[in-house]
Amino acid sequence: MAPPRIFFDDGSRAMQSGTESSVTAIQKEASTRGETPIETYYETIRAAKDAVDKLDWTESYRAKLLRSEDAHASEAEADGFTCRVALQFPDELLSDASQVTWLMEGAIASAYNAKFMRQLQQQKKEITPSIQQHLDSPPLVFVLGDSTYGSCCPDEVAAQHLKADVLVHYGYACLSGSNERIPVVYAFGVASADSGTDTMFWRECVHLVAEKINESANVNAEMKSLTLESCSNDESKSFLVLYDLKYHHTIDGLREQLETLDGVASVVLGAIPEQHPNLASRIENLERRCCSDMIGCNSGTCGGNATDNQTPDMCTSESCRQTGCGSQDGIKAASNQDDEYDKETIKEVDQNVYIPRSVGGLVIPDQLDLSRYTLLYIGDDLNMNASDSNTYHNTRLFHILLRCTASDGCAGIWSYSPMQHSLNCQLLESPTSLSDSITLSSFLSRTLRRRYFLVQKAKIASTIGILIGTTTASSTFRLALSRVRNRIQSTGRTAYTFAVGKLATSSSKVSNFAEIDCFVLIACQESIGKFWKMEREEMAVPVITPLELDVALGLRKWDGRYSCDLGDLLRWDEEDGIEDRTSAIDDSSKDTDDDQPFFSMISGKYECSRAPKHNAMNLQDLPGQGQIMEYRSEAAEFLKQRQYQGLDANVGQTEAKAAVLGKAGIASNYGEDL
Amino acid sequence: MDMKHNIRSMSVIAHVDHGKTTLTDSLVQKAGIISSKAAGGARYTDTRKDEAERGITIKSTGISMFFEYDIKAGEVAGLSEEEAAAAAKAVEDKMENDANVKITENSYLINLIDSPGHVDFSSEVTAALRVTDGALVVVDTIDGVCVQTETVLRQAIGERVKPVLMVNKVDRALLELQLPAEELYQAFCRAIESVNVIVAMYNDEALGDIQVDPTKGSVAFGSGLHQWAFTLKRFAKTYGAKFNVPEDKMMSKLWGDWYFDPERKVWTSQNKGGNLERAFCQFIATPITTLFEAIMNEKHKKVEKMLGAIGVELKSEEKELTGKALLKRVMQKWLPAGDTVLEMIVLHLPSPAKAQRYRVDTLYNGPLDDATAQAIRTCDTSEGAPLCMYISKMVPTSDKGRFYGFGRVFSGTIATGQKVRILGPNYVPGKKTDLWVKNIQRTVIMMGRYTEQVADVPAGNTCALVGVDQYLLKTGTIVTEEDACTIVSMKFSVSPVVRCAVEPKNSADLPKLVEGMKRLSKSDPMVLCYTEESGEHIIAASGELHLEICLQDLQQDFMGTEVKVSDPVVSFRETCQGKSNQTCLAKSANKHNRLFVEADTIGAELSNAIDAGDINPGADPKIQGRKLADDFGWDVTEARKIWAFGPEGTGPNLFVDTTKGVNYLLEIKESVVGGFAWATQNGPLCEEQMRGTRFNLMDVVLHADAIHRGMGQIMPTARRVCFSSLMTAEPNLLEPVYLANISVPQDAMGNVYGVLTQRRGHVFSEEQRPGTPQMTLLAYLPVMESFGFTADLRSNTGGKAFPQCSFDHWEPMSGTVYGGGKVAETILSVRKRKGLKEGIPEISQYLDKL
Repeated sequence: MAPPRIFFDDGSRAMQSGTESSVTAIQKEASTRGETPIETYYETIRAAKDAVDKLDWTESYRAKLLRSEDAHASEAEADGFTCRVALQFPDELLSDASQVTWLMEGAIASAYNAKFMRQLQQQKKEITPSIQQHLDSPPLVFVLGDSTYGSCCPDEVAAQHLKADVLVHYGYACLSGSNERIPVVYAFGVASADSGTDTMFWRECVHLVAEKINESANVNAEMKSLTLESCSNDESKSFLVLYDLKYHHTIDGLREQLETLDGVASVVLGAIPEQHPNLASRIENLERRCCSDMIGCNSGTCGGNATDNQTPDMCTSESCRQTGCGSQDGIKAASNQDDEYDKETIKEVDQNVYIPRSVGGLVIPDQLDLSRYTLLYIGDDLNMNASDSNTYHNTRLFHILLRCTASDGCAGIWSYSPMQHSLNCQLLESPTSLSDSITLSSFLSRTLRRRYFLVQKAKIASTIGILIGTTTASSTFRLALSRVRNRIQSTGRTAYTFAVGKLATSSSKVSNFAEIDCFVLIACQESIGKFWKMEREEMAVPVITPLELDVALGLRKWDGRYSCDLGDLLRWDEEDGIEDRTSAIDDSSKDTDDDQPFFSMISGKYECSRAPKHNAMNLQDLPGQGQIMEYRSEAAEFLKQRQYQGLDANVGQTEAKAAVLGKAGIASNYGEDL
Repeated sequence: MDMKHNIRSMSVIAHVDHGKTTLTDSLVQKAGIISSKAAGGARYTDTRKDEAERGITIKSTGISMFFEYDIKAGEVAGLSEEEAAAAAKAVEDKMENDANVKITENSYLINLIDSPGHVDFSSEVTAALRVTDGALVVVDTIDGVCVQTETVLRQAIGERVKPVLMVNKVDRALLELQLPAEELYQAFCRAIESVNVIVAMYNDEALGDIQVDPTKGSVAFGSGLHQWAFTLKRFAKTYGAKFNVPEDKMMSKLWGDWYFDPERKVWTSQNKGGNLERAFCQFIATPITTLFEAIMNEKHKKVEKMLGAIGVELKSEEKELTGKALLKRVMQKWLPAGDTVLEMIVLHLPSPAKAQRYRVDTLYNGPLDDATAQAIRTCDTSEGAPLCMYISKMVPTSDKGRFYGFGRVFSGTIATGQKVRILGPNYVPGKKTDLWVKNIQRTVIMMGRYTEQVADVPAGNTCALVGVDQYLLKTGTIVTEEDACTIVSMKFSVSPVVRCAVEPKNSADLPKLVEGMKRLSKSDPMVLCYTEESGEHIIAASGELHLEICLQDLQQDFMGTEVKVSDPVVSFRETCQGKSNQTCLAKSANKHNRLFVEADTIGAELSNAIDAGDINPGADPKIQGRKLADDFGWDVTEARKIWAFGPEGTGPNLFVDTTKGVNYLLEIKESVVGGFAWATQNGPLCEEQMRGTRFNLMDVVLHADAIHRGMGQIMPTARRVCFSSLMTAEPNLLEPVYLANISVPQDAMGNVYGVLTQRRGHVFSEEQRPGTPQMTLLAYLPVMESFGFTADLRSNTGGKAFPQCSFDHWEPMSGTVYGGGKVAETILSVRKRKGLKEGIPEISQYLDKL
């Protein structure tokens, strides 16, 4: 059989030689995985089965294969693969990648064939030679290279470029993926070898929890006898169980056992977000509009995709608008999206999109009243060696705590460490490792203080950059993006969108844009948490989250609720009716003193918001009746203030030369080098 | 109010506890606002509850009063009790209807401001002096001139405010110390001389002769508590009639070395036999001492006789009084303080019209010949005159969160509803920053605890505005002319060096805290409220007491909830004390650009010159270069190539370009300066500001493509190279140091030394106050060690020592950053507080290798 031809649409080439020889080089560093065997750790069998299940069995060529014998015309058959599966590894697991690939190839092939045969049997078809040939051909399993943003987010865009049918994401995940473009299978890695016996594994935990409940019940009883009051509601506890993802495979066992305990009213388990089947197609439409103005600064893979979907007429209109704003170095930033158009789309999505409610990425029921639940967090690395004091190293727990200690947070916070077999009911009072005197709660309030400082700093910003920190094309993300831009513009400020790749290196890229006073980072919680670690050292301008932006713009009050989760943000918007308020501001701004200065805590003085007045003006009312209008550009005005405004032209002083042909190609592959 | 020649705006200034507020009471009583019985103990101008409780003034309080005086007759236009009440009523009625009261040329309007004496609140004094033309300096007979007296007097003269003197607490000298007449005279003399020494030292020629002189009547003696006071004029009038000598001649005879020889019935300036009594003692002091003695010893007959002689009639119920109560009543009737002091004020303090002629030069920022300046000079109140008003402080209203803008109208008339230009302190003529054109909502007159609404206020008066607090934080100028400039901002004699961090109990209360801090910041001319990079909310005040008051205000009035307060902290400065031991290199993130920088110290003198604005970024580089070369020994060419000052573009750190012939250098200037500003704002040691460092740019290697040397590449690199060069140039911390002025009796001096040594302080001057066992010690005390110093000192000396601390200078700390000692300790503790990485950062973190 001829070697399969592989097509990628971005010029990537497959590594074909040397993979086998490198297998020996593995196994040097297996720290994350520990002693767990590869098959167990990566759950190859389960992952392969899930992946095959998530393949499109309805309309694709497989169905065609089943329906008719004339499969030769099918385009997929030309590929010579049954299916394409992309594997995404975080850097620390990359050493296992090749082994996992081989294992997956086998597992998928058998899972695929099994499922295929089942379908055949259901339809009572015979195995024709063409089907046999199809079955004989292997699945294409490949490893995705460097992910564009954090390794926690499934790199759906890259997978799509490589025409993958399904993406398997290994290791630590932020769970912010949408599942909308491409089905994603998660394999978080299995923590311990003896996980087979769930009951045994959780017995210690359940035991400790039961003890604690008894204890508090006793205290309650005492209280009752003392005060002769009925504090009945506290008799039974409800638990919200959130966990480190490496315990995901066995967590159901814990719930079962907890539910049987005395004094436990209910147990809610955080779940892995699932795809909402009928969403994808509807999003497709929206996505064209929203992504069209997200133009990347990097020449990598991510920017290109967005423009793929653009219809030609949109391209032209967009580029027309851009000519006025393009300020530097050929990097274009688009703004001034047609307001009405955006609002319309938002409304459209508002009515339709279901945003799952989640804490730390784990989905919880919509109507859950957090304040009635006690949070039970299962995980090990609670207080271990954090080298950096600006953020907590365990970002998931950190975000869970930020969310659950807020004013509408959980009733109590407990944590259980399966490694140490210990239950901690005073998690917030326990010292962080940063310093013995700093407790987790004071650490949280310190973080919030710093965030509030940045909000204050952002108040005087007039030009705001929207920094894209994820490739997830989830509806939540896109909704948040368009809302953020809308809000910036409706309060008279200017917004530019930036997509510059990995956040870790973005600071030197975005600080080339001195005209940006403040950035809004739209990313998954993990990335935000990681970014906070370096932000103070590296960024000269504040980088805030969408929630903080609302506070800075005065649309929302800093009321003690805090979340980096875009879903929470959108939900709160609806609850508080922020959308209405934005439009209200537009109307009322004319009567009130909008030039009134505000007190800035940064300088301790009165500051004027530098936002220019933004009124929808009727051109006919202007002195010139709209015939000729002075064009006013934020960017141009900023450039005027700068000392250096570009190279001197030196007209007439330099010798004129004829233009010569330059290099062609991309950075890794100029034509002449080949 | 409309008669600008009959207005006297004055403030009462003095050392703490010399009796300003009590004396003010007697003046207020004169205007009939409080009863004469309560006066002396009412502390009318202490409007706050805590002021009354602590017995000290915290905020300065303005009050406007009427006073009838006929200059020609030289006589208080006999105000009986009823008339005084009528006058008081007049003040109120006047606001509603001018026709009700007959305003004659003998009616004087006194705008008086009572100021606090404690050094922590001297910013209030500064604000008070700005809006007044005269100052009533109050000096305790026994304590004499104290350090704060000197400070406020110096400030007064600096503001071109003319002083008159009140020697207070004479009753104490007589009752407690039982000073004989001659010693009393000597005490008076000392007080007057010391005042005159200070006046001479800071003399301003534009003010003319401002020495105080009893023979001219610009010195009063008396007791604020007992509400009596006299000037020589008062006695001169009586005795002049008796001896048939003109009043002014008599006045000169009543002071100094003049004696009356009763035998020869002649005046002589020589006391030959030594048996003559000084005229002052004979005619003034002795009668008073005798009267005191008689009353206190209850010699009723003698008292009655004397009362007859001095013409005091007591009502029947008053005759029942004995002891101090009687004494107070008698003296009040004989030598009423209100009349005496007000007379002195009217006669010797300038009217606005007079004062503004010479004050305009130091007041007005703009050209001295523009319309507004002219109007200020003549105190123009005519219709259509350009308005100029200075808001010197904000006074809380009963409406929570709102403030009156209190200030002085320098020209024109400010009226309710008038359209004015409100200029903030950062207003630049011709620009739109810090400028608002608004209508005045309301104008009111401050009457101590009350306010009176008026339609308009003409130039020369102090008044308060409603509504401007939205646009001005602390101070500002209100004008009508398009081209008018601001009034010069006030310079304070103290700086906010004591800080503490506050935090709400619940992070949801953060916005509430910020709002509270905004209000606090408005209510006090000095206090600074801001947020640090770490998100800590800092309140910075001038002293411990000040901080205490601010925190109390914040929690009780401005925020309404309790906050968590950290221990007081001190701000430090990062500096270097030598030259970098190597040329430091930093590469940009893309490794294509290199910056070579060396750090050096610029010395305390230059830092101070930059602080004072003598060397500033706006100046012409050529002239400034000359100055730097002449005064500070700089190389002229280097001095012309100063790229930037930092932090905030004005601070005492310099970035100097010493490169030659570098390509594209100008292009990266902005990025480098940006990095330098960032580095000087948050230094490498513990994110404190830098001070007194100079960064020399030695060489630069840049990538040829503009895209690779953008701001994102250069700015962080410049910051890092500033860090590394500072750290290779003997880095150190500067800590703020107080100048402590401690007055203590000789016997308790040893304890003072003990306390000081414990707190790393040292005494550098020791002086005995003449005629007393009191010593005045001057010592340097690190601010860091000063918390609880006052209390400690009191307990160690049995309450005998009185310290007064004010910020003096920055001093390098002992030890080295990497070698340990106090510096290293401090850095670690600051880093911990700010939540920075533990441990002092290594140089290698910032220093790149070639």
